[in-house]
Amino acid sequence: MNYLEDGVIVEEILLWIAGVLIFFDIYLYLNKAKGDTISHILKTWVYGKFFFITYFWGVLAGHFFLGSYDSFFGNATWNFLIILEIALILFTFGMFFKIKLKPEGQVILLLIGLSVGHFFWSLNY
Amino acid sequence: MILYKINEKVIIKVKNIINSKIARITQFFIIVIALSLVMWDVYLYLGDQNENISLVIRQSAKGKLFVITWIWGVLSAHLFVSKKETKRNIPEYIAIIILLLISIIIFLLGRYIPDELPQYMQLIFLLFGAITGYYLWPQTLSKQENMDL
Repeated sequence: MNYLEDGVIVEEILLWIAGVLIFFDIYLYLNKAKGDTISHILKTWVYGKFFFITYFWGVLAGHFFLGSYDSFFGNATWNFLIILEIALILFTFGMFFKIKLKPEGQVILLLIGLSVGHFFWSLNY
Repeated sequence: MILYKINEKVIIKVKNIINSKIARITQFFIIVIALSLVMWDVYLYLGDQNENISLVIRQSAKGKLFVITWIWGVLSAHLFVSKKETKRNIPEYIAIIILLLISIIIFLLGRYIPDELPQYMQLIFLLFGAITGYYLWPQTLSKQENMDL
């Protein structure tokens, strides 16, 4: 599977996936069924039980675009476990305690995710 | 008359079922894409090469393609931060055109900036994207959804 290891191929596949997602979403937007676009589905998930997705989106933003220069624990595995643990806690809250978040709560979750991704899952060290 | 009403009810029910079926397909599609991306990234990470998805996105965003950061910000507002009011200030297609124009400007800006951007600029683009996304292209919560929160 040598061809997968080339960075250019990775880029190309990512672009393809993005393109497919965009065209699929445009199709879903234009067809007759209401409420089946990707954004709508994600919105129903996030404002229902699965607001850990919002947190993950923030974490990925911090991971991709930011990143501290000193690690907190120095151990990538521990850092990653902390990230997963927070996600698990959020998932439990949504799933079993029937907590729902308002838009303000989503903003806070995005910011928490962003800082967690920045401090605990940086690509800079 | 009664028959007609029953008929209408049936049609509405069938429509709902079809809608939810297509929505199911979308849900399935999102999950499959997300899972396969994660598995592919794990596979790339476990190999000995230096390329995985995070690194590719990071390198592109740090270099000339910081439009990615901006789009990420716009999407985080669009997908996750909905507005409560049902009123919309500008029609959606105009908002999308404006966002596309800004994206093109930022993309072209990236081609003419010779050096790597400092990291705080990434944060600025992210926040700028989120704020523009929130004001131009939010999703709205219906009254029912708002009540449920």
